[in-house]
Amino acid sequence: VDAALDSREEGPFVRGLLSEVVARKHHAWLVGGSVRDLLVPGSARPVKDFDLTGTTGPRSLDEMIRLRRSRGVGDYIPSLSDQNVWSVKARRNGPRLVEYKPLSRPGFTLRAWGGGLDDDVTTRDLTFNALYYDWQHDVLADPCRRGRADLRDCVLATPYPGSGPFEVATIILRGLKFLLHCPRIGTTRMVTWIEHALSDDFAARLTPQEWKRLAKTRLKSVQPELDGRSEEDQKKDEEKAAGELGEKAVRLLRELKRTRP
Amino acid sequence: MTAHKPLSTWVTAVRYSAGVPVQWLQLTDVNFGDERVDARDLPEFSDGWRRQAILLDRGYRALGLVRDDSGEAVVEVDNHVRPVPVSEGAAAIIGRLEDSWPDGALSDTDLTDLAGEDKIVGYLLADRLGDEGNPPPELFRILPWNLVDELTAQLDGLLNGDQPPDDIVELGHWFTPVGSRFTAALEQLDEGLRAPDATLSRVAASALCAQLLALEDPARVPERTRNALAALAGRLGEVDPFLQFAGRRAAARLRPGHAIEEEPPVRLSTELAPAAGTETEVRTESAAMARPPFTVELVVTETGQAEITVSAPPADLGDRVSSSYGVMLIPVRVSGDDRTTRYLIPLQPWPDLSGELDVELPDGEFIEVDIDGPPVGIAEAASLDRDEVQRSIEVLRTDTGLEPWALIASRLAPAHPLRALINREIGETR
Repeated sequence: VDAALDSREEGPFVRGLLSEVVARKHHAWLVGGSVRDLLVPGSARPVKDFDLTGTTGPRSLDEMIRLRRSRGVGDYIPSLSDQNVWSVKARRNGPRLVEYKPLSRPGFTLRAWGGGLDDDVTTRDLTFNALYYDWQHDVLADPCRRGRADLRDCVLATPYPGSGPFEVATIILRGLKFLLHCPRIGTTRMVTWIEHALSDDFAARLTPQEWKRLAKTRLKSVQPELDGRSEEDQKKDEEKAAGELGEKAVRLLRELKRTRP
Repeated sequence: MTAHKPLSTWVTAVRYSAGVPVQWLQLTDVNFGDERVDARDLPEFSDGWRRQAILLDRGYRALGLVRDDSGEAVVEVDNHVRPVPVSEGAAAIIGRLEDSWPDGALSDTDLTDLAGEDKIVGYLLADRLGDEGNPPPELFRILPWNLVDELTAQLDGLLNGDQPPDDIVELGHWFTPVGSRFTAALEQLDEGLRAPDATLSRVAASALCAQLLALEDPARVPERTRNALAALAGRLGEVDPFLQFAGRRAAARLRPGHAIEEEPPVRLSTELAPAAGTETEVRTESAAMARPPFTVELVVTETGQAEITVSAPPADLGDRVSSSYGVMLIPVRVSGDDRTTRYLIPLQPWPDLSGELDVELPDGEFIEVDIDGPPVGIAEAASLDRDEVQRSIEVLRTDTGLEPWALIASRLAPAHPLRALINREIGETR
């Protein structure tokens, strides 16, 4: 993490941001794929994305104008999305340099924040993506208690406890991505979970808009894993991976192939 | 090409009926649920839309697009998911411009009208046109230049000892379409002078000179603003003597027609004339030029080497370097017939302020050397270009020359990749 903070152009700014959060008596954690990659046994990879979560509200990061000005990045573009995700870009059409989403508070119609790690973890897709690293205190949190072990043992599972068809379908697509990337990954728990979490009439319960969004997720998440294979292999491999996740995953994929993103 | 597409990165779908105010629902998804994509790239906008100022139930009109065949409509929102306010007149101008995007022309009246809109309208238009077309410099008049003028005037006051005003002037990202990050440097200078923080002010002043010199097309900045910035750049050269040359050059760049009075870059032939002296001496040619307060001396030897020395009068400047820069690095540009290479020369504060490097003569008939921007110090070391650092150390010949680099490495964060690179290069060079 230090190497990433020190070597990237936005590093000093992100470091300043984290320090400012702590100075305001709040906590921040690195979360998601970057933590997973750091922990992959025997192959620590450099941090690719600064995906953060924490206890402070997103607007407080937005208000750190003086920090941006003093770091010489007053022209960075901060955004706060409808999903409560605060992010910064150097240019409107550039990549996001850092993303921050406050700890979620599920269970509300509104997109609420202010929960703890135990709440937030239930909004994450896969257990090995639900590890939280506090860089300033060098502490790793595994609130679903299976993330570290699932990463070590290469097991596909989710911490999501609900049965919302859109959420479950999204997690299945994320699982497909990892299954295509690492075919030896264990799927037993995932298969059992899908069977229970996804109702038989899921196709009818998803709105046209949600189908469209799922089709986009498939394109963005699954397709890159298939690129480079022949068209026939892409079809075969994707169907085979869905088959490993069970009959409902196969049905989901079949429906998605008929949906225009 | 007809291209009625979103100008903003995000849009939200709304229920639209002509003449009826649209109910604004704050929690509507942006970009049909995909906030990570640029709305302009969404397949939904491939064709069939027209530009419209959509009346909201909040009592103002917002930049929007309407699709008559399906009744769909979207409102463009800013980076905090707030509708982008726009007048009917401005939306009509944008619609006309989009009819022949990106080559449509705007009249003086159009530009004046657009400049009177909310600042985000001008920003979005200038940014998209800058990306997708080749707009004339006058187009950038639609940006909120009054903010730059206000901050520049405040900075001039702060440099003259005025008390900082209570409110800060936020330039934000409104000027990124111009193509230089000088507004970020202006804001940083404001922070440095307000603190007051001598190092931050020094860093910001160097950055401002560098960014003004990097302005690809100064005509994108209105003349009034250019003159104010030029005066500020000149003033920075008075406050920090090491910025004399860069400040003056930046000021000259901002004022076309006001040629800077400076000597041409130092230039020598790579072929030495036959020696008149003894055969035992290595033949050399030398020349020098002034870039106040620096002097650059170039010596070409018959062994195929060029020695470049940058120096400044000692007086009290050595103390200033130590306190303000730590190590002062001077960027120099070495050119041959068809290639230019940049190096960084660290100046030793003692016994006099100077630094040197030896490079192989470039291919071709001549070698030309000039200073290539304001000096930087240890505070900026973390963002130095790796290749530039590596090649600058490789050509050093003495332990004394390596010492400043060792000091720089020691001040970098332990995990910084430049720290390892500098230490490795120092080891290999020794």
